[in-house]
Amino acid sequence: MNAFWPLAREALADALRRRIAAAVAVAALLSVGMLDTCSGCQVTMNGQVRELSELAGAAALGSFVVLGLWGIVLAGILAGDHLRSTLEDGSALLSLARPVSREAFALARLAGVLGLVIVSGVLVLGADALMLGKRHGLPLEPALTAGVMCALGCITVGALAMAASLALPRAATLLGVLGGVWLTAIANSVAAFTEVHGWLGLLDRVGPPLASSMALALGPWLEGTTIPGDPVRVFARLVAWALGSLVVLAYGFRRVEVRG
Amino acid sequence: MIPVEVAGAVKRYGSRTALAGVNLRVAAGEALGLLGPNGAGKTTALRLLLGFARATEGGVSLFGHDPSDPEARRGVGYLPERLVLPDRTTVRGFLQLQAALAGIDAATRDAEVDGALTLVGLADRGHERIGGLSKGLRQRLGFANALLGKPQLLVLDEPTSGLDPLGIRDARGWIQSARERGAALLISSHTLSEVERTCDHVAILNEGKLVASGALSTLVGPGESLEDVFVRAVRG
Repeated sequence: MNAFWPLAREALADALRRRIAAAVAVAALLSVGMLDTCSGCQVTMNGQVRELSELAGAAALGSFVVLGLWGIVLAGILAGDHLRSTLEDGSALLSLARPVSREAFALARLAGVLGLVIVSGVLVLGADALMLGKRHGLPLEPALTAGVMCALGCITVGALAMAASLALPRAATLLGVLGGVWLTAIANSVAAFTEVHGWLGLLDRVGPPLASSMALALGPWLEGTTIPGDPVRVFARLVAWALGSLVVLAYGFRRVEVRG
Repeated sequence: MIPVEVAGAVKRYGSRTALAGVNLRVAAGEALGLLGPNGAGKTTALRLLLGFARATEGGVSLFGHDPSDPEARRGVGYLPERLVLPDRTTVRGFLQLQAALAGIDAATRDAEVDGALTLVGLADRGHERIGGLSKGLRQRLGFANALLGKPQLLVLDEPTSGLDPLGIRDARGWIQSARERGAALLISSHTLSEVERTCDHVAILNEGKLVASGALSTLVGPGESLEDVFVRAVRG
């Protein structure tokens, strides 16, 4: 794995040079700006005007999870192109002709994407957690755990998107990322309130717990309410998904024939 | 250890056979010119050799190893036909990365990069971005990359593409120097005159089959050129 770090640095530089990186930076800064307003606003419920601080825990959890899910979607979208493009334009050839394992190359490309997404995520989610903590006295520890869950979700979706991009057209990979993440989030959210059957229930119980892992981590922010589910089992399932996705990517790229 | 051994290599893409039982061998210090018309299977042979693709049947070995084993490629320098370089990276930055990937020790990396840049005449351009280089200079940089760390096997695909006459002359010198230090060379090219000047063996592919191979001195008869041999082998 000696080649991993030089390749990961190169992959991060490639990710930063992409036009979408500038869009991500702007969106992240705007989100931080909006969070300041949103975390201190008034809401009207049943005709009554109430300070958001009265609902702080639930609102904070919701905003954190939604922002985290956008980060996961971003990881999938970027990863869905980051390896494939180097194969298509031939820029991977010079590196792959070196004593570099396919696994190291693919994982380094993923690490480059994750570097960009995690920096943006720390900025946005960190600002969110700090503001909520300062304004509403919510503890930071749950946000740290949820941040780790978000990072694991990014690894899972990024690695799966990168592996899928080796076999599927770009549009199909993009739709897969968007559809997969939001369907999983919907399944997780519905299952938090009621018992879910069918494929949506299966997705909640077996799929990567992208939203439920973050929500469970942020459980201490809710007063008098408990989110259903065993946090340890859900976290372990997400770790298993992240590791499995990395294996799928490494194995998938090993089998790919590179055009020279 | 023989740098290149290809024994009965077959490569099929669906129903199309790109290589049909090809045998090749390049020993240390030898230079083999791989010739053939477009679509003959030259690029496929190089892909198998560098581990970019797997043979459907037959054996391919690089220094006695399977080419998919990264260690097999430790002593290999490669110049692809379609050279894609990172435009926004500096010349030196690119070679530093490639030297790291080649496994060149950090203590000697700078010296190796300097040596390669000086060799190809880019010593004063190390700080420039690759995107600002002309096609000929990019090809020189491709050579510098292939020659980094004094590889034991050089795989060059259309090496003189984009070079001006002076560049071609220089490239001939770099190839000759590599041979003199005992490196094996595998050169795929359409420029028969260059192959005749730089190689001592040739292998001619046509429609995926090896139609002629051997030492230039035995293949090319008195009063003949390599072009005559090539046309005879391909057209029958």
